[in-house]
Amino acid sequence: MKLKNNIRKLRFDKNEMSQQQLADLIGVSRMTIYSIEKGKYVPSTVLALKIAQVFAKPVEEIFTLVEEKRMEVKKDEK
Amino acid sequence: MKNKKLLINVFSIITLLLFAYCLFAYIYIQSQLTVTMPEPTRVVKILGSITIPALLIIGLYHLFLLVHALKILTTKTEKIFSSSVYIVMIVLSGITLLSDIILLSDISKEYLLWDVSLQWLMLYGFTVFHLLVVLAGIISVQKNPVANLKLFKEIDRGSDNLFLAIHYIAFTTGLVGISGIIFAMTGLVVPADFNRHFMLIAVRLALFPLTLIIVYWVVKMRNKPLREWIDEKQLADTSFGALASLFFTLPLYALICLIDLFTVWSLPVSFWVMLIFLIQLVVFSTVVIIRNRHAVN
Repeated sequence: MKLKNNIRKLRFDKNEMSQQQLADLIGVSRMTIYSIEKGKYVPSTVLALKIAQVFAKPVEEIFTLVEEKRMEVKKDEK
Repeated sequence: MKNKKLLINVFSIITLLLFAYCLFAYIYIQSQLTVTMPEPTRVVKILGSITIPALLIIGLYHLFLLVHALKILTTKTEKIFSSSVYIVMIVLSGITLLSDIILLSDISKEYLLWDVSLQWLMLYGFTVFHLLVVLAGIISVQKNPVANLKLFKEIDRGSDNLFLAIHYIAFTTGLVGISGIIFAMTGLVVPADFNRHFMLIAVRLALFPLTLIIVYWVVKMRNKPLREWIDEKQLADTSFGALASLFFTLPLYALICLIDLFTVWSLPVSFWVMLIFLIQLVVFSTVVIIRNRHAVN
């Protein structure tokens, strides 16, 4: 299982908010936001809730669990 | 702003002139202090005593360069590595300015007793090192005008720059320390009896920049709760780095036990302790930097 997110899209929708601005709002470094967006770092529950709070959306709308096998199939289809 | 720039330029020129003076004084004193002269002449004494305030002013310029480098470090993301390495060099050069004074004083006392050519060589070597550091600093000051920034400006919580800078400095410090103790143990610099003493000085000297940047970090973060000093990703990177350095050094411990068991080298325990500690520091910082910079999970 892999954790996917749409933070980048949400940032764009919210007046093209930068990674640094989001990082400042939730009190982490820009690199942490970058890592989460890229799916290379899985945030803690607290951090996920803080991100959800910024975008005023439920956590499950921002983060979704995806089966890795299915992702590989999708890649093959492409 | 213009006055500040003018002041900095004047300070830089004075420092360069003082370097020229020191070099002239060293060459003149060296030519005069021979075994045929039982007592240094008045000119030699005056030149020598002026060298001390000259070196102290050069030390002040080092302090200015250090503040400038710290400002670049916390504000310019693309220059973290070069600034970190440069900070280590400034601190090392600054501390060795004091050893210049000690060397000069030792030479004046010992030139009649034994050969002091190695001390002169060290003095010239250190002077070239200080000069290179100052020249690099002057170029940096001209290229990066950050004089208007406050040194203790509040930084954002969990800033990447300072976190990475500490690890870059730890990495450089570790490498300098390893080179220092290996160099000390070869017996090239001092007689074998003083190896251990010289090695401890080298390690202390190497660790000074790291201590300095940690103190700077603590001062900057002093008003924040401890849990906010690093964010969760940085904490995860730090934990992974610690684990990696522990696993990396386990075979080294085994190797040292074997060396000791078969008495391959009879090196002092302090050598192995320092070596392992510095290797751990290098591995730890390297892993943290790679994980943080390349967002590895």
